[in-house]
Amino acid sequence: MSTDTVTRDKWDRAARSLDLMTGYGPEWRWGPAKREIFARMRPGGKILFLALGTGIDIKNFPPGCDITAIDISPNMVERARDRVAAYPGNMSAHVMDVHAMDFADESFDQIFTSCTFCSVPNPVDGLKSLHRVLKSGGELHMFEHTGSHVFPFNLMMKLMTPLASRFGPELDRDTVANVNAAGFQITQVNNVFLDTVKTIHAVK
Amino acid sequence: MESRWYFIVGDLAANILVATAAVALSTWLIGGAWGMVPGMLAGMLIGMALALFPFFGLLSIALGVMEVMTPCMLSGMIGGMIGGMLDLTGAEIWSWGSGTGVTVLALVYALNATISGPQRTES
Repeated sequence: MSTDTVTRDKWDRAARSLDLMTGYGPEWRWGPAKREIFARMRPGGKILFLALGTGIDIKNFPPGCDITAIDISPNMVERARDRVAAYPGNMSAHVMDVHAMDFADESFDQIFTSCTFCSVPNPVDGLKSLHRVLKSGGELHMFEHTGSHVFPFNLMMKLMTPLASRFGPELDRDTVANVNAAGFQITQVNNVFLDTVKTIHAVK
Repeated sequence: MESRWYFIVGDLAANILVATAAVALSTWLIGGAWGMVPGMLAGMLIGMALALFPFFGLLSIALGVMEVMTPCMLSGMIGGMIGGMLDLTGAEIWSWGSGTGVTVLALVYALNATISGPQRTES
């Protein structure tokens, strides 16, 4: 399987500081919305989670689920090892590019993403990969930050994206439109902060 | 709508800090000497850059990402515009900076109250 080495190397470099940069204020701020979305994880079904990062989201997962987590960065997965091992359920972590996943078609009942599709280089292709591995009638639940449709925030996001994307995510993605374009049927969109942080729920 | 006091007080302090720093730096560098429009545009860029470096990196660790970046960049831009257009004294810098920070944050909170929550689905 081919891997996007540019993206992999970028997130490998970010792995060391990720807990410091996102583990306090951002987690405290987004914790309630993340717990609400992860509460939809159902024990008994097969769940795909991405992007694992350093595993900071695992504490918000309900116990007893069967979760396969992926991340493109080996350094991230290595740092997540203890958190994955401590999860009170069945959880495994793999280094894998969403564009080139080696899971069989229709492998998962549910897919969850957390701040993922701000960084996937080809978001519609990545979402099509998720569509492929999700069972018919399966659910996609996303917690994502996106671009804005509101002036002046839309302009600010576009101005900042060339710089931000060198170190981390892009800030002007239209993830709702991308989910539609990948063939999912959106069932609910919930703005968490302005229209820049949102949860997206969809089915195949 | 944010209701936790840690974040409300933190957002307020962050926006006042960024706006006041932007007014101060722009009035020190330009202070109305370039004329209204060039001063305003240069001050806006100074304020936006200041909001990012160093403030965003530091404030985001304690207060969040988009919730800090969006209002603080706006506070920095507007504070920088004011400092670029006007030659202000110390007390005036504080007044304009704190007023800008409070006003921007109030507008962002009001906008957030309007557009946060469930949205119409598109498919």
